[in-house]
Amino acid sequence: MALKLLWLQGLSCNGNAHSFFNVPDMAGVLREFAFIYHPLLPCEATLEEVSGGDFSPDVLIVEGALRRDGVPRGDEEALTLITRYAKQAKWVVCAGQCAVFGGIFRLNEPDKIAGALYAGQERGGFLDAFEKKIINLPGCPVHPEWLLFTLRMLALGTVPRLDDLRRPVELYGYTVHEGCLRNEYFEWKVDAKDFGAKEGCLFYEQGCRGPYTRGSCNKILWNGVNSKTRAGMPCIGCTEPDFPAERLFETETLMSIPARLPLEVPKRAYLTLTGMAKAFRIPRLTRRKFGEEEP
Amino acid sequence: MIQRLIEHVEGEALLRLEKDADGRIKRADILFPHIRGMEKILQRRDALDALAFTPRVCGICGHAHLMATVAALESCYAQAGVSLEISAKARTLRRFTLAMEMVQNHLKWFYLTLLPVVMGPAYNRDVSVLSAHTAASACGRAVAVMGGQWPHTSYALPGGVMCDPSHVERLQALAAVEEAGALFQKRMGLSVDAMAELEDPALLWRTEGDLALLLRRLEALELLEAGQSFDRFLVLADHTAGPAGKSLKTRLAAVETAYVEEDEPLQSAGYANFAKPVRYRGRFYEVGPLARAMVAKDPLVRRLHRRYRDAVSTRIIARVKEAAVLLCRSAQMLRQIDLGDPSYIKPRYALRELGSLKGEGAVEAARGSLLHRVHLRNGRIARYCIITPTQWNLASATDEPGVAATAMVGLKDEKAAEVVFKAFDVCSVCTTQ
Repeated sequence: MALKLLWLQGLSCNGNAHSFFNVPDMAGVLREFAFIYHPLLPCEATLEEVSGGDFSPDVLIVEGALRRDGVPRGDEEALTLITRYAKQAKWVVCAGQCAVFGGIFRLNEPDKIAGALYAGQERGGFLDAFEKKIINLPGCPVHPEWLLFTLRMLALGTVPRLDDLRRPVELYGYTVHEGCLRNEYFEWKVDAKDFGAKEGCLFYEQGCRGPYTRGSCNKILWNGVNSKTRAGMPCIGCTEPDFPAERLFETETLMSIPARLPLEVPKRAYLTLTGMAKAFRIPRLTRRKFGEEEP
Repeated sequence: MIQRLIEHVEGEALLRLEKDADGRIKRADILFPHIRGMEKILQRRDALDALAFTPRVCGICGHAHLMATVAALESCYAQAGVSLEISAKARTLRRFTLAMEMVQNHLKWFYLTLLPVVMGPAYNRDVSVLSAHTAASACGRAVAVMGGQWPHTSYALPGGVMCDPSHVERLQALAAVEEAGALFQKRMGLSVDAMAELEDPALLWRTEGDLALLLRRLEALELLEAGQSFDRFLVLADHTAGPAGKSLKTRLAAVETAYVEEDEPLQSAGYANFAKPVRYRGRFYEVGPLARAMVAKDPLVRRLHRRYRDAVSTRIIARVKEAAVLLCRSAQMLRQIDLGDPSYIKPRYALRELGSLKGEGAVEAARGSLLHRVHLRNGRIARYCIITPTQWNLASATDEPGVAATAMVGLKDEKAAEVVFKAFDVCSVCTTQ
């Protein structure tokens, strides 16, 4: 029996629905899952029918931030609809930053808008009563393959192991930094001189948050081919509870040391190692990758 | 009064239809009941943070918002008298990734929004979903090759782009463009080159493919001529397939963004609505692929227009043709890029060094002209205003029906109204942001 999925939205840009539409294996998705409702895919029911009916989904997928009222979906408030189906569902998967923490749209009314279990970095979301059913997949947007992995695990009858924020450890046990093609530049403390080069690490000047952001963006690539940091865009920390931070495209420094250090790295360890690394000059890492000629 | 919830339009919209004694639609109110407050959220943020925020207005056309932010911030430099050097490569890459986002939008719209409503039971769900998926994931991959991911990359910034592609990336992107082109040819029965050069509408009806199928079905439903509106078209920005301008029927003229003005949302008793109407010199205009084709004097669309004016058939064909034109141009753009050009040339000053600034950026997005207006004070956003294509096409004023509302007047039933409405390519999230 195909797992019955119901995808409902709060305050959303539809970005998670579109991100999910980039899964590599859509034929598999259509075969393995039965969508009661999804914002893009043609489905068994209309939103109006979902709102008036009773469909007992196996998994409720929530996209978007939540607010007590002012967000009509179909004939009722999004939160009423989502709460009703959260009761029926075996699992509630929060797809994307807004559903998990409130995301960017929470900033409009921080005291009224929140995610399922969290209001930004604090506990206190709208679906606290269903905590034990909730799986959190933060990210703006959610990575399509992270969501597909989670749904396939549930289809197999296995709940992926979760960390203390109820994120699957096999997806969020990595930092974004792991697997970045710029790692060698980080090791030897060679910073990117500017945007627009494949050489250099973006952690020191351009604001890259990869070393302290959880997510497997550089293990399971985006759209099957790339990641922001590989391309040259700093990680903006879009899976973290404090997203969005201020001044995303520059590194905040204290006495010319990055104000935030890689996850759980003590300052003394960081200073010792970078001091050592800087004492050496690795000629290969100071040249352009393909030589100085035009490629 | 009939109320109808229109779904699968990047969120939902509510249509309230009033009928006359013969059962024909006399008045159509289009209502968008939520707002997320992006303009307010941006206030007091660092100017460059807008690069990460505005793409989050919309999950399907967020890349156009990124490009509008870049254009608005670059125009702030211009206002301060600081000239920026943007390399030809950076300009081309920006146009390329934007074109790819437009193509994925057009093909998703065709297969996921339009076909189901027009074809009814004759519609094959799996074929349509898989066609949309192939096209959209190939185009998304092309953006990701340059920008790291799609949706929601912020890889462009004042001064250029953040990526540094080699021939490897160029060929990966080209392969993705060709995959989307192959899908187009397989499903539409015409190669993208043949479609891009097509001038004779009769050929479209004779071709075996999904577009011909849809047109024949519209003909059977007597809807080919439905959905005519003001017959006024607006293109605020130069774009890959043509210039900015406006067209009153077929009469062309230049445009100035200074004449663009927002108004208060239509009040409809008992229901919230946040869609602000927008006018050019006090008049409503249609924006989008049909407008772009009319202003670019596209021969196929001009011939259709002679027969059907601004009806659904002209509107639909203009959008499908634009997907083909953009795929052709995208392949050319990739081949022409000089990879040795710089990707980014750092502006001589940071925005926070330049005091009080005003800027504006217009971009042609999938659904039409997108305008961002920004005031900066010492590098922080004092005010940010976003005027989206769907506001132009879908929003009515309390005292005057807008483009889509006018297009629905006189239609025979709600089904016809839904076809006409969806042919505009509705985006609920953009309309109110």
